[in-house]
Amino acid sequence: MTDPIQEQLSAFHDGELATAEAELLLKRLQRDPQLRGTIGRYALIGEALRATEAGGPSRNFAEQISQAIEQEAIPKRIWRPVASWLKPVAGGAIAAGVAAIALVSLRIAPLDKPAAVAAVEADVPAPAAEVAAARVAENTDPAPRYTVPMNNKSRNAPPIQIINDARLANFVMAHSEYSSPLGQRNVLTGLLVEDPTAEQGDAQPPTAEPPKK
Amino acid sequence: MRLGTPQLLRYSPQRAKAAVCVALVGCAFISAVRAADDEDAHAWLERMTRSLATRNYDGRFLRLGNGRTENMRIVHRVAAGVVTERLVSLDGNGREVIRTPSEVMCYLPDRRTVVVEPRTDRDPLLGTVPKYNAGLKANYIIAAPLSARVMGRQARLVTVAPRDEFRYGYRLWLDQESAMPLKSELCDAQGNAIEQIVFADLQLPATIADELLRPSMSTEGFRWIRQETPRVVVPQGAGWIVANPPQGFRLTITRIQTVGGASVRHMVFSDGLASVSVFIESRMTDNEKPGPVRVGTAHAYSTEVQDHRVTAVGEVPANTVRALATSVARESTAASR
Repeated sequence: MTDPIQEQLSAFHDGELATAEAELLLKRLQRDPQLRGTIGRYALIGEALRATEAGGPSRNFAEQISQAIEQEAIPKRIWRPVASWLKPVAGGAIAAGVAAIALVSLRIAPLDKPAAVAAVEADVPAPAAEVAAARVAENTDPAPRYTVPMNNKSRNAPPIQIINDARLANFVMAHSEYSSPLGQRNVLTGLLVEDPTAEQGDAQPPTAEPPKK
Repeated sequence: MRLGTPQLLRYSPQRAKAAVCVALVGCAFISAVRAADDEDAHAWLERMTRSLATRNYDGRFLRLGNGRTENMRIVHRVAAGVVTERLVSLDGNGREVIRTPSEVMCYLPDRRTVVVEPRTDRDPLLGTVPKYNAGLKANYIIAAPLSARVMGRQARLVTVAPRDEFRYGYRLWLDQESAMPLKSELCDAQGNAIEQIVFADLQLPATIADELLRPSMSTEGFRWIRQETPRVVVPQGAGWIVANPPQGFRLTITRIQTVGGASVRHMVFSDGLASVSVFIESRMTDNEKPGPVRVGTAHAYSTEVQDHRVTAVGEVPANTVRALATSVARESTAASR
């Protein structure tokens, strides 16, 4: 592997690679399993450096990361088995359904959309239906792919302004108690990995007390 | 020779009745399949939420977002109905968040600071579980689950797409056996992934040792920033209202709490899945400017309303927190408008 690639990988792992370069690198990652192994090792190094006394990194962590990065193609929609009581009528009903669509002029999705999604779209506003269709188009793409989430800084993200960081941390933590489990993970990981603001001193008086046990 | 109309296509009252019957049966069948798919997706979301809240798990995951890749570890223990969780950044600053039944503690070793927030005494297991009911359909499109494979395991891909720009959507790859989200993407209204979380290693042990739920750092010499005063639930609104919340967001709770010795009103808005907190403080400080702040994929927006500082925080797009914060008004002022 060439040094520039190594530098790019290192910068990518440190979050310092420009979006355009990151996209090119990720396209290359799709094609190059050796490169995927390398980025996994970078992650392993990071983990090993920060491993706690509770135990070091698992032996196959790099391999797992590599596997995780390689997003697998999503198969076509698989219909659930028809309930046994429905089987006697299912065949006729499907044929009947076809006739029904013609007779009652139901909205019909393009042929490349799974029927289930077309049904979901039937009663939603057009823009939402387009969003759903775009999702389906993405999800049924058989080609292996990997996309890194966009860099918000380059997509008209709001500029960082100053709110006292300890107070904001308090607010985020207080808010997390009312989030769904997924939302809670989003807000708390955001608190861990990024400094949302510049330090401006503390709005709250610090104390020397340890946490309650 | 002239071709006549085929026998099958000729009109007759009997055939018309048969066609109508066939049509009705077909419609009923389509509706049944559609309802079953909706229920299926909702059932998977319920299973996922229940697994996240009630299982023991210990996993390492990659978080990709804002052009950054971070390694993290999460340890979640449920013992005798008591939930304790530790979330650790394995890269860079080494920050940790530990949630105990009574407090949430954020350890910031890079600042030699610990921020402590008391927890509410709501249902510790499923208190924050959203209800995946029909109301969600007004704000999200929940597609029927697809089969997929992640980390070599059978999974179900559930897509929750937002209907507008005021909320995010999710693509969730849920383990077929446990319903744990092996991989998840947070997406904007255009379907762009904003954040991706991929588990590299996930274990569901029967028990988790106490040691795994303690901070890995010595906090000697750290500053402890904590609020001691318990929160008080107050009547909804009670003096302040949000006149024009974004479509689908409703006020669910109002509390009074103390932050930094000052009384803060905390209003929570939810659309059934996403939530936004609005904090109203009477105290103003000179060194704080109003405006937007990004915290990972969450956003905050701070503004001034009638000598009060209003800050909205939520796992929603920037325009949503801004819309909520700038809609805050005194009840009497709003009534006189």
